[in-house]
Amino acid sequence: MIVKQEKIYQDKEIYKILNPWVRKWFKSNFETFTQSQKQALLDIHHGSNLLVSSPTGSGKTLTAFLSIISQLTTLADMGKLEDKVYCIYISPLKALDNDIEKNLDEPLKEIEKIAGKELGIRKAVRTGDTSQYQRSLMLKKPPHILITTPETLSILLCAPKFRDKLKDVKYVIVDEIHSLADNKRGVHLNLTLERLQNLAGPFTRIGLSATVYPLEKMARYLVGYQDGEVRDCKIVDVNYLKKLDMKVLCPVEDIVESDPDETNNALYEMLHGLIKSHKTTLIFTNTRSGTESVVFNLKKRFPDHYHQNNIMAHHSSLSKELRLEAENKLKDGALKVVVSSTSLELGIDIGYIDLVILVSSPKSVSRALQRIGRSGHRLHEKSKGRIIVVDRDDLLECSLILKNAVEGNIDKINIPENCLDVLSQHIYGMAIESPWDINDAYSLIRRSYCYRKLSENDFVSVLSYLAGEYTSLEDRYVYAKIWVDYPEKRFGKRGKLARMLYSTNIGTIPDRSAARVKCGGQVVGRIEEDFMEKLQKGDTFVLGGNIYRFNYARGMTVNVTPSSGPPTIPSWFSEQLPLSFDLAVEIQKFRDIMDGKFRYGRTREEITDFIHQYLYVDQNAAHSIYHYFREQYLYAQIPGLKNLLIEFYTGFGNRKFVVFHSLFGRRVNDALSRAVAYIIAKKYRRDVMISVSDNGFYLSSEGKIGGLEAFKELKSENLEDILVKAIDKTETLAGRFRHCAGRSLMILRRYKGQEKSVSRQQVKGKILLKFVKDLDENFSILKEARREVMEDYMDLKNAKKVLKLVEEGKMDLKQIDTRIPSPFAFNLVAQGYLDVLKYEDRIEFIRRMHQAIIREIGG
Amino acid sequence: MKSKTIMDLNQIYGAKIMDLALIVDNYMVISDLHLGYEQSLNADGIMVPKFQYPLIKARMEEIIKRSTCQRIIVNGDLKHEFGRISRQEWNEALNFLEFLEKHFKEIILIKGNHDNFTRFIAKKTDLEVLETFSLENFRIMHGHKIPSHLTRGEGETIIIGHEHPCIGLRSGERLEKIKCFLKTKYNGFNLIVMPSFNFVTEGSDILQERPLSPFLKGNPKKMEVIGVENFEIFPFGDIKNITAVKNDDNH
Repeated sequence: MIVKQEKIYQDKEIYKILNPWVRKWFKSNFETFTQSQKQALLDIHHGSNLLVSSPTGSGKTLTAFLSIISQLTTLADMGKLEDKVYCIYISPLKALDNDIEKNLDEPLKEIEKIAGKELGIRKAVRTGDTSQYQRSLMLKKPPHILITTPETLSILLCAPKFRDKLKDVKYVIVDEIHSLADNKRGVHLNLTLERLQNLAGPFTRIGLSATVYPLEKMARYLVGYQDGEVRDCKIVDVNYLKKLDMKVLCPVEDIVESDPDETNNALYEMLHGLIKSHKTTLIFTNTRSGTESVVFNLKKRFPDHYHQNNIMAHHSSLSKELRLEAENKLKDGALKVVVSSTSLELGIDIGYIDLVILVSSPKSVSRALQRIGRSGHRLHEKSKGRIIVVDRDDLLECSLILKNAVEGNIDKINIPENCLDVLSQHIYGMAIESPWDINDAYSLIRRSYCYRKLSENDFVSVLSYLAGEYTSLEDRYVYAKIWVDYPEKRFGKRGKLARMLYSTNIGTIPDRSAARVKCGGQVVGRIEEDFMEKLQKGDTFVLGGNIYRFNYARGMTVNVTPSSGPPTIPSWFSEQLPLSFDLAVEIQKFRDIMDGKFRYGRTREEITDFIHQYLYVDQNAAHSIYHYFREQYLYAQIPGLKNLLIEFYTGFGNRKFVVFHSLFGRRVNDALSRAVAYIIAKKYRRDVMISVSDNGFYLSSEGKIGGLEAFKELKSENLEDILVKAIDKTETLAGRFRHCAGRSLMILRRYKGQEKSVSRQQVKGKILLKFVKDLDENFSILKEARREVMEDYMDLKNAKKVLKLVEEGKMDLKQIDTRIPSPFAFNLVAQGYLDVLKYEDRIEFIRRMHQAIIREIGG
Repeated sequence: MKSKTIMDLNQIYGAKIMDLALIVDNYMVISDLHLGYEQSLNADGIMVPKFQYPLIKARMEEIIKRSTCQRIIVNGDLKHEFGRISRQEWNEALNFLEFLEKHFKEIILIKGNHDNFTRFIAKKTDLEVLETFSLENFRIMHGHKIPSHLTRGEGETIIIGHEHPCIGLRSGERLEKIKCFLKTKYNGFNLIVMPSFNFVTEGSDILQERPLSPFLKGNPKKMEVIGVENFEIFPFGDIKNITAVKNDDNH
């Protein structure tokens, strides 16, 4: 059962269970226990599973470790500390692992000093960076506290000798669990924990999480299931403790009227002003290119204030050395400002930050809180965050983020389930451990939260794939990774290289095809392959806040020289964060309220006062929002949760456009738009262009498209079937298929001692997909790629919810015709990204194109 | 455009296009089969199963059915691996040569850049591997290098492979690649570039990528593109025109 731990223990009670030396150490360092420690320590001591949700700076780490250290100290004192691992700490980042190891150093040393004798409690970090030598040391003298990453832990489970050292693990701590649970790394870890439990027997699971909703789901994810019932877990929630000082700022008085240049200038003036009046500022942008551009512009516009030594960028495309330099400079207080995309969101130690600025909407309430929580690192100190908006849609979005953050409404977390590619890795790993009974393996897998509903069919399809049954019998020796004996219900590993293949190829983070950028022989960063392809000799671009000129590319290395002047290529492709569904619904509700105000003829004053109060924004912002809605109301009508507005207009060359004002976030719109486009394409037998954004989507075609009729054909029951067909020929599916094939070990990154280049894999991914489709519609990797596209990349579940609203009559469909796009449609039309739904047969398409070209030439 | 008869449309310098093959007199020419490609992918850690060979054979049977040629020329790159002969290559290449023997009186193998070891396979079937082959006015060679004895040509036609040409047709966001023949000139010779006879990829897009073959270095001024797709022939005219149309087509 999952229960909330409301009980707050007295200091006295807690001291009673602590080892006297540890107690003494604690008393000499702290006055009292933090809230989370008061609620958690006794339960950990008694071996209860526990999920602790609290903001950074609230002593979370010590909450997790204190009672464990105490028990290890007692064991050491009695001379009973054995050469084995007692506690495993897992975090998503190597940097965080290293921080934790350092943070444990002091208490362990001091406790030893107090004890007056050698206790010999060992701790060690083990990641992909750990040298062969260190690893062999760990085997001889295993750390009592093992600090590691999800990937390394699953490799250790298959390490023949080290595996033995894990047989008595008593505690597992998962830090930053929220950042793992919503993606495949978390799915992977989830099953790893069950495999560990199978080896070590029950252990205490401790999860440390930032603010997420619902915590109960996160707890289920942490503890898993036993015999179909969720295991016991207590939840400690101390989120209300940290105070928020959060504001939305408009760089200009009226963001509706100002032109982009003006807004941009004002944005940098505002940034500069804020940075000047604080000690250290952390700026978050949503993309890596945005990060680059902010650093570049601050340096360019205020050369007297910002230079190489006091401003740095920090994002995942930069080299490890540059990122480490930024982190260290931050810790030393040497930087005035650091600009990051997502890489500084997690709890690595970055010293004292007194202001966090978010440039443009972070797209979800929880992300906003996570980012802003990076400031004011001590408990009881306010977290100070400012969100600067860049346009009117941004203003509205950020205002609702502010409202919901202040009122404590956080977006729901999404945890992927039944991922068959991750399952392939695990079954392979299990086979390497030992031969298995098929049923035993199936029940072990279903103990994991992410696989609790795994069907037997899917499980068997993965076994069949791993056994190479998709190839001819005579070729199977090349492809089969395991043997399966169906009559005897057993499976096991095949091939001498199995363990090596497994340990060098597992993991869930796809290899991005990134090219190294070299300047004067030194690697200065990485750029994505798509971007590299766009570069032509002489182009200049920004990387790490500096400008470089592109000279030439050789393989996956790009040669550049430092340059100056404005970059010729403004940015590189970077995945924009999608707007969270829950936040989208909040915005829609606000639109409904505003619609009502205008309909009932409320005065300008009444409405702006309402906005000011309801959204906690200043008068300027309230005026801008008022104007934006008024324009839309007068020109067309205000769409919302009760009214789905569908707008028709004719563009260039008589091209027909139909805009759906479905503000449900890009993931939902992606699903809806492709399904509608598919219906249209089939009906009118022609290709349909799709453009998707957070605020809606539009379709366009060379002739009539009947968008409304097509949308009406879409039902919550038929959406999934239509979508499967609609994504069939897309680049998205091909790309995801390659990733899934990589995770399923159909494409091996490292094979026969060589690392394979990603660009080679990329081309081959397409070939693979082409082949696999002919092979079997239900091939497990193909099925997973489809699931990933529909459920993780898109949001099928909530798209169905939207269709349900229409079916139940809660949302009306309203059609209007406009000459030019309405104000709300404006950004949507300008910012969406394009794709095409191919309907025409390849041969029809070729014939048509041939005719068109011949007509042009022949005249 | 001048009106052309159907005859003209599938002819290049007197050679007849038959899907991915070219027919010269009583000879059928095919090029760039790259047998054994999958095994080389496997060695790269990409566990794609074998799928090409049955497709190649089936297409070949289709072509044979529609022609009366007695002789076949494989214009280079019968197999894929540079350095050695993989197990798959042995099996498929021998099987393919047997298949050709059944349908043709004579088999001529031209050496491609991937064919360092093809002679061993050829020996098994008592065949030779030639650098070039001459046939009336036609000189057939793989095209990865220019033979030293090749002087200025007059009225003669060179047929090469190696390039794997295709063209990308783009409409809006949609892109489809289609295999094609190229008709151009080289140093006084007529030049025909053949598409590849394999189904792994369509080839390299001549509108985008730089040519590989020394015969095409410096991009010939005039180059006609003839697309082929499943026995249909699509003469696109000169490459410059296609590029011009594409630049217009920006709406």
